[in-house]
Amino acid sequence: MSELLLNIKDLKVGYRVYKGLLRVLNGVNIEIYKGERVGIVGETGSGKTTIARSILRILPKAAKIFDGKVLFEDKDVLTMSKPEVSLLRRQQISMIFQDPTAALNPVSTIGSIMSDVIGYSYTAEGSRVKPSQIREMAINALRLASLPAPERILASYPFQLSGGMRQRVFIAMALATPRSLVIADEPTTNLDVTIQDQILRLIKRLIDEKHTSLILISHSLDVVSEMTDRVYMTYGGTVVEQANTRDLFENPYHPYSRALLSCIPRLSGGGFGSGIPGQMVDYLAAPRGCRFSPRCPKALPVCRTEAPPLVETEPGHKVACFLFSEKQGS
Amino acid sequence: MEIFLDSIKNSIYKFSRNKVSIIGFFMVAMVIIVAIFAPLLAPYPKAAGAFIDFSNASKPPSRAHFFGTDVVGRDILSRVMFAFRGALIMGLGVIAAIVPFGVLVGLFAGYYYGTWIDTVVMRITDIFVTLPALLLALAVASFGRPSLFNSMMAVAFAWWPFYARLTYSMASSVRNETFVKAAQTIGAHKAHIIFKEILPNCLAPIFTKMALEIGWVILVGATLSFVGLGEQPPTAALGTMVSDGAQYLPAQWWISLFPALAICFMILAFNLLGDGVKSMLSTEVL
Amino acid sequence: MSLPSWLAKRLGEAVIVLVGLSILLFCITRILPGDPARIALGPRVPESAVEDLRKQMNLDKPLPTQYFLWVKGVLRGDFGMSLLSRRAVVTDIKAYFPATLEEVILAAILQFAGGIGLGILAAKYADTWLDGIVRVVAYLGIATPSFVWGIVLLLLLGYWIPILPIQGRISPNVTPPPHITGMFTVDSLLTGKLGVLWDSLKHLILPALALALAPMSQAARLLRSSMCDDMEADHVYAMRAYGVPENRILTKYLARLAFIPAISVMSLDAGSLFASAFVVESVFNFPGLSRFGMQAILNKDLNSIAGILLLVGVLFVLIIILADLIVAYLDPRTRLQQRG
Repeated sequence: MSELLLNIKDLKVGYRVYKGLLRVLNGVNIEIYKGERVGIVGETGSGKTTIARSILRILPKAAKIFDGKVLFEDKDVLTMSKPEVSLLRRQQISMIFQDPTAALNPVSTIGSIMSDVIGYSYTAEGSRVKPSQIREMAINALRLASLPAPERILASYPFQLSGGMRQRVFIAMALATPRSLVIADEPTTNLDVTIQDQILRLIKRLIDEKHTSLILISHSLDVVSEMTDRVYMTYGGTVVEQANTRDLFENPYHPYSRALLSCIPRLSGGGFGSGIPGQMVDYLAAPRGCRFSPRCPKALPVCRTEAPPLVETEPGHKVACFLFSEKQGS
Repeated sequence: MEIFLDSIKNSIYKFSRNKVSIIGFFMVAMVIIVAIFAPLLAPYPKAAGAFIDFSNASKPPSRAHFFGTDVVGRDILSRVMFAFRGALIMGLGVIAAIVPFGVLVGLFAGYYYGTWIDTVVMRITDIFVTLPALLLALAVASFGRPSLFNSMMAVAFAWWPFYARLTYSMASSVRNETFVKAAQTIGAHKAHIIFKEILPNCLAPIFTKMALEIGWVILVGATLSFVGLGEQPPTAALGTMVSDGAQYLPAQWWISLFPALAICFMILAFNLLGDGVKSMLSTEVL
Repeated sequence: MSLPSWLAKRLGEAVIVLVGLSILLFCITRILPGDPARIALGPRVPESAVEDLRKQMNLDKPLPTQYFLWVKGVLRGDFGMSLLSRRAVVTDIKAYFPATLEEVILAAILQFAGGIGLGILAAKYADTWLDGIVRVVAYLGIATPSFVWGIVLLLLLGYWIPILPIQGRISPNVTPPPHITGMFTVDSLLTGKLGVLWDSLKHLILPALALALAPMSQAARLLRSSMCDDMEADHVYAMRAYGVPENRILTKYLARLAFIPAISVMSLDAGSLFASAFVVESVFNFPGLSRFGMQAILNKDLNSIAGILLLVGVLFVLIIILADLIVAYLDPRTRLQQRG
């Protein structure tokens, strides 16, 4: 496999709320290689966005990082100096937000937002770029994102565009300057069903053209299976299983993955799946052992007291479940 | 029951999250206690009225008179303590009088949204808000014999439209909510809809505004008494004490300055408390 | 909707409101007091004089007629005679208004500059000691009535550290500038008398500061809290994610957004400066319209009261329209969506 680009090691992040501390991420490990498209799948509230925001160090004020590293090309983002982080944000990693309406300043024109984004991406190199060049780049980027009349869009305010157009603008912004990694956090969740597919195809096309790595965060198994090479399945702030996308979908090991995959209605499969009984993890009082254990149909006594380690069951396929680690051990 | 207790706990938490609002709570409590028990607590209760002791006139602050004495020898601390009474009556009385009236007007105008009732009522309040409330109160207070009651009437006259407008804007949006439509569909009585369906959903911002504005009403009241339109001598009134003392600046600065600081203390107390109430009633998720 | 037609509509509404205000003022000054002529002249004046005044003020005619006669006069610039100075109310207003105007303008400048500066500062250093100081100062600022500020400033900067004059518009030994606008600062600037400009400015500072401190604190608090609320918004994190510097986020993206809700409150406060001036001008013995108005109020000079309140009402309405214009400029959502 090619070079390692991003390596998240044992990341633990929580949020302070008035009732106490929400321990959301509980030792997350993720590796992203150059040119790879990786999916992070999980239900709403499983800590996916927290992972994304940790990578760029843009966590909300209430968040607290307990432990772990986010190594980008072997440098820890979490301990970088401010100028280094700025450089990282301006030139290396960009992010497409879940809700383009909320993520674009409502009283600024697209042009003024984009010129800041593009302009700062280049000022970091020390070479000053003329406003006309920045504008040219912005127009190019919008055109690449299949937006008609880019000049008019630059002069528009976000509320004058449709939701799909706003997300295209965001994608254009994320890829207007060369990047080594793009993080797309649920890029289609807030859009009409009819245009979700177009937006995903656009992301895929641009990522391929620019040879950029992609982290796609989604709760939709469909989206991830179409878009990614490799998948991390998360539950309650932990990675429960990771594998090549095909492997994971065809041969899931973890009881949670299996349950989730069985929820997808199949034409040939006898109707709907059974769903997963029980409720999402309460982060104030998360289970001590495996976080899925209270809902797991196959939970062993050990699952309630110890967190299962991530073990490789097949080359490239890892799962955090005692059902499989015991098999290996015996 | 548990939910009820939990919501009380939650409210107390929200209130106390703003540390200064606890300070405000104790400051307000202090002002109220001092005002109620002024005759017992004041070092020189006689100073509250027409009392003259020229041998002690214009004494600077000392151990005997913490705030000094005024030109006729009355203890200023004692007078300040008694003057809290008038200021409290002003702040609480005016709010208690105008809120029910303003809210009622706003509710009806909001319920009859889009009809002539709505138009007439709201145009009237439009007119009131084209003048600063303080100015309107000053003008109205000047007619009639100056007194605490008279100045309260003047402030109330200038202030009620703001509550009418707030309630109106709440009510006119709440009336379109599904639960109101549902009540109408099953033929609920108008009074039921207005008071049981619409009103409860307007209360949080009204209470917040009330809590935040008591201090402001006290401020306007003090201003009226400063120009001589409030409580009349010999009864102690903070504004009057400040303006009377102003003639003796800078030599006898304490005559004017301590009552002035007492005004600030009182307004600050209610403002801090108001902020606590505001965060208590906010729907913000924690 | 285009700007001129929006403005025309707004001005039209303003005229309706002002007609309403004239009715309200008519009620306050002619009906509410009972017998205005008797009230104006006091209890000791003989009935015949009161009768004369009634005739002069048209009080012997039916109420609607009285109102129309009054409005007719007002539209011609005739507010009647002052019962106190025995001059036309308009003459008094012309004589006293410029002083108050320059005082209020300076106070408004202080209010906006100080409020915006402190608000942004507190937001930028939110939850640090600097923010703490600004918040405490703002709390005290709001809780202090303008006349108390007046007295505190008078003691502090007029008597104890005597660096500023304590009363009047201009020092007795300085000749006022020739009358052009009536505002000493402007007139002295126009005629190039910088010494006079300096002297009149020094006289303005204390009253203007006393007026401005409370609304300034209010503005600072308002801006801080709305900026801090917005600071956790997605679009701020988005700009941060793209490496836009914090200072630029604060001044370009956050400040503009925070101004939108704050600007109308700040403008209303600026309009209320005229009201606070009524009290502050007497503290500083400042010969402005408000002190004149205060005298009118205390002496029940009904014609002057009506005239001055109407003037303040007109100014207040104009300030509100101006605030709406600024909001429309800052907020494209209101500006552009109305077109649809």
